[in-house]
Amino acid sequence: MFVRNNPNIDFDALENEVNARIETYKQGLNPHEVPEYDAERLQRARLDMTQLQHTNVEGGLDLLYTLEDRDFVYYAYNYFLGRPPTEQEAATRTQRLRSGANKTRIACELRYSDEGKNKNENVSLKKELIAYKLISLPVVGRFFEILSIIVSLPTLRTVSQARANHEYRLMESLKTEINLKNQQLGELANSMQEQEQKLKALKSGLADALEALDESQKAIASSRARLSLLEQKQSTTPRIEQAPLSMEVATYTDDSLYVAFEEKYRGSPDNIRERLGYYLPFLKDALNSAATKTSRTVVDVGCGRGEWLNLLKENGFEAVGIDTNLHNINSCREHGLTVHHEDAIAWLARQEDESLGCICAFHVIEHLDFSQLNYFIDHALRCLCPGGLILLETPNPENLLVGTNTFYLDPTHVRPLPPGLMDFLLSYKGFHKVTLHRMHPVAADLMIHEQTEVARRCNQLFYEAQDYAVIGIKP
Amino acid sequence: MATIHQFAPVISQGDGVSGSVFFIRTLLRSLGYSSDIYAWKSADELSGKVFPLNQFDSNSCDLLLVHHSMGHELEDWLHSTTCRRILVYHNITPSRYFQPDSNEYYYANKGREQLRQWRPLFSGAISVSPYNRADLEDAGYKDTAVMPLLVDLKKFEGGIVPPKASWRHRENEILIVSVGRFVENKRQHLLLEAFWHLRRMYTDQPARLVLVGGVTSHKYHHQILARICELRLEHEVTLTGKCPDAQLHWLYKNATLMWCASEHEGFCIPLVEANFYSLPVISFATSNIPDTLGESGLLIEDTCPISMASTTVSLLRDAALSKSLVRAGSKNLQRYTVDTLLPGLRSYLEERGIRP
Repeated sequence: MFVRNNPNIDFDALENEVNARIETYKQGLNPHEVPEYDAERLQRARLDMTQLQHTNVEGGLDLLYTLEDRDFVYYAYNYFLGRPPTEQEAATRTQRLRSGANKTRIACELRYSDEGKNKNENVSLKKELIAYKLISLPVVGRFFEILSIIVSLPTLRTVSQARANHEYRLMESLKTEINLKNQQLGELANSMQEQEQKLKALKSGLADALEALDESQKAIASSRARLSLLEQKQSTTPRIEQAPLSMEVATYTDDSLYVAFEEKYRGSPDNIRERLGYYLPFLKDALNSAATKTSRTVVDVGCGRGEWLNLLKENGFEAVGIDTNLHNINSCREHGLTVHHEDAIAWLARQEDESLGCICAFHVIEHLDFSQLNYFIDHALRCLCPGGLILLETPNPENLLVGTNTFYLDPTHVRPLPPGLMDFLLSYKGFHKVTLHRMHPVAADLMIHEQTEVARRCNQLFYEAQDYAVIGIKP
Repeated sequence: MATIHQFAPVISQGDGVSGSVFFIRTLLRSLGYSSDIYAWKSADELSGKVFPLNQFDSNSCDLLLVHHSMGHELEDWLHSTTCRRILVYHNITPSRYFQPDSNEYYYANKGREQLRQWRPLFSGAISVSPYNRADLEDAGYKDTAVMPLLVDLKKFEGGIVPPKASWRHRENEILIVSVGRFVENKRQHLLLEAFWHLRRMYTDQPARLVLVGGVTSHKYHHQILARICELRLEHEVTLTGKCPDAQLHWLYKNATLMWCASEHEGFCIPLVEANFYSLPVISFATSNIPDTLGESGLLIEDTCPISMASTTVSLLRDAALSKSLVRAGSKNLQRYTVDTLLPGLRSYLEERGIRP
C-alpha cells in the first residue's frame, strides 16, 4: 500500500491501521452516495456560480466571459473583488445584463472600482477601460461608440458566426440527447409494462396460493378434529359413562354465597351486557354462514344471571343456558329464559354429534382442572356442527394484577390460563381460525400518564386487558 | 570571465521552469560566471531581468543553457546560435493528457520530436530528475547528468499575505493544500473525492481543501467545479487560482499538510516547498514523486481516494508520525539547497572546460 521509503516509520502498523479504518468505513458507506466521476457528464453540467460563491473559483477571464447572467455576476465579483455580491448588487448587475449591457463593461467597472483597484494588479483591462470611458463621454461618446462598433464589426461577424455554429452544434447535440432520452423512456415504459404484467400474474398466483393454503388449513384442522374425536372415543367415552367428570363449582360452597360473591365483584348486569355486546357479530357471522345450517342453537355454559342469554334472545338467537347454581337458574327462569339446572359437562356429553351452533362459556374454564378442560373442549368440538363457534372468556393473567391478585379473589378458581395456552389448545384439538381477543383494559385514568418507556411498560404489565376471549370455528 | 547565458522560450512569474532559470542564474553568478537570461516572451514586470532574443550574441557567450519543457517555434533561432549549448530538460507532459485538438497536445508532441531532432545541437544534457533523465536517454542523449537546479526557496523571504479568498481561516481548521495547475494529469478530482471521504471519516475538527493553481485545461477546470457542486463541497473547498509567492507563503505557513494526486510529474517543486515549510505530504506514488520526496512523505501505491483519506486520518491522529515526516522533509531539503548544488554544478562546468 505504501512505498517503504523511511526506516523510521513502522509501515506494517500504519498499513494495518489504515486498512482497518477503510474496512469499517466501507461497511457504513452507501456506494451510491458518491456518484462516479464521469468527465463527460460533468463537462455538460451547467455551473451554478451562486452555489460556488464560497469556493472562490479562479478560472481566469476565459471562464468569466463564458458565463451568462447571474453566473457571470457572481463569478465577476469573486474574481475582481474576492467576495460574492450582495443580494442588491447581484440583482442590479444581473438586471443590467438582461437589459443588454456589455459583459466587458461590467468587468471594467468592477476591476477599476475603488474596491477592485488594489486587488487586481495582475489583471489588465486597460484597453477595454479606455474604450468604455470614451464611449461614456458626452456628445463625442456616441461617435466613439459608433466608431468602435464599426471597428469591431469584422470581429463581431466572426463571433456571431462562431456562435451560430456553436448553437447549431449545441442544438444538434441536444437533439441527439433528447432522442436518446426518448428511447430510454420508451424502453423504461416497456419494461414497466412487462413488470406490471408480471406483478399481475404474481398477484393472481398469490391469491390462488392463499386460497389453497386456506383449504389446506381447513383440511388440517378437520383432520385434527377427527383425530381428537377418535382419541376421545377410545379413551374418554367410557369415563363419561362410568365416572362422568363434573364441572360443578359450588358443591362445596353455598349457592347464595357464590351469588353474593359474584354480585360484589363481577359488575352490574348492564355493565356486563355492554361488554358482551362485543361478541355478537362473531356469532352472527358463524350462524349465518352456510356451514351451520344443521343447528343454530347457542349454549351458554355457566349462564349465571342470564345477561348473555338475554342479549342473545333480544338479537333473535335460539339460546339455552346451563348452570349449577339454583339461584341463578331461578333468576333466569323468572326472566323467561330457557335454562337447565345441571352440570354442563354432563349435559354436553349427552348431546348428539353436530347438534349445536355455538358454545359459549364466560368465566367458566378457570374453574376447571386441566383434564376437565380437555374433556370439555373435546365434547364441545364433537357437539358443534361444522362452522359452529366456540367462545371462551377467562381472566387474562398477562395483566400482572389479574394474574397475581384478582384471579384469586374467587376461591373456586383453579388456575390462570394464559392466552397462549388456550390458543394452542383449541388449535391442537382441531378448531379452525382460532383468534384471541384481549378485553377490558383498566380505565385510562388509572394508568401512568407519562411518555416514558418505563411508564409504557408498566401500563402494559399492570393495566392492560383484564380478560380475554378465545374464539374458534369447527371446520 | 566566462559567460554562461540561458534561453527559455517564455519566462513568467511563478511557474517552475522560470523559477529554475532564475535560480541557475543565481548559482552561476555566485560561481563567478557572467550570466543573463534570454527569452522570446517575458512578463512585463521582468523587463531588465530578461532580455529579448535579438540582443543575444553567440560570440560573447561561452555556453548557452537551453531550457526545454514544451515544443515551440523557435527552432530557427536556436539553429542560428553558434556557441556551445547544453540542454536543461524539465520534462514534457505526455500529449495523451491533453485534448487532441488543443495547442498543448500539438506542442507536447512537437516538444518530444524536437528533443530527438536537436540531439546533435547539444554537447551535453542536464535533467532535473532521474525520471527526466530516462526521457533523455530514450531520445538518444549520451552525456547526461541529473541536477535538481530548481527550487529557489529565497523567493519566500518576502512578505506574507493571505490569499484572496472568501473564507476566514480558523485556528482549529485543518488546511489541506495542493499546488498544481488545473489540467487532467494533476487529477484534482481524486483529491475532491478523498476530501469527501475524509469529511466522513474524520469529524474531530473542521477541514478545508485549498487547491492552488492557474487553469491550463478549461475543460478540466469546468469538470472540477461541477464535481465540487455534485459532491456538495462548495463550502469546504477553495480554489485560489495562481498565487503570488507572498500568498503561497501564507498558505504553506497555515497549512496542516499537503496532498498530491498527480499522475505525471517530472519533478514537482511544491513537494520540496512543503519540505521547506515542515508540511507532511501524502501523495500517490507516481512518476518522479517518490524520488523528489526521498524519505519524506507518505507515498500510496494504489490510486485510491479512500486510502488517501484514511492515511490522512492516521497522520492527523499520530503526532509522532507527523514529526517523523517533517524530520525526513528537512533532511530531504538538503538535496536541493545552494550549498549542496553549487559544488556539483562547478565541477560539471569545469569538467567541460568552462571556468569562471
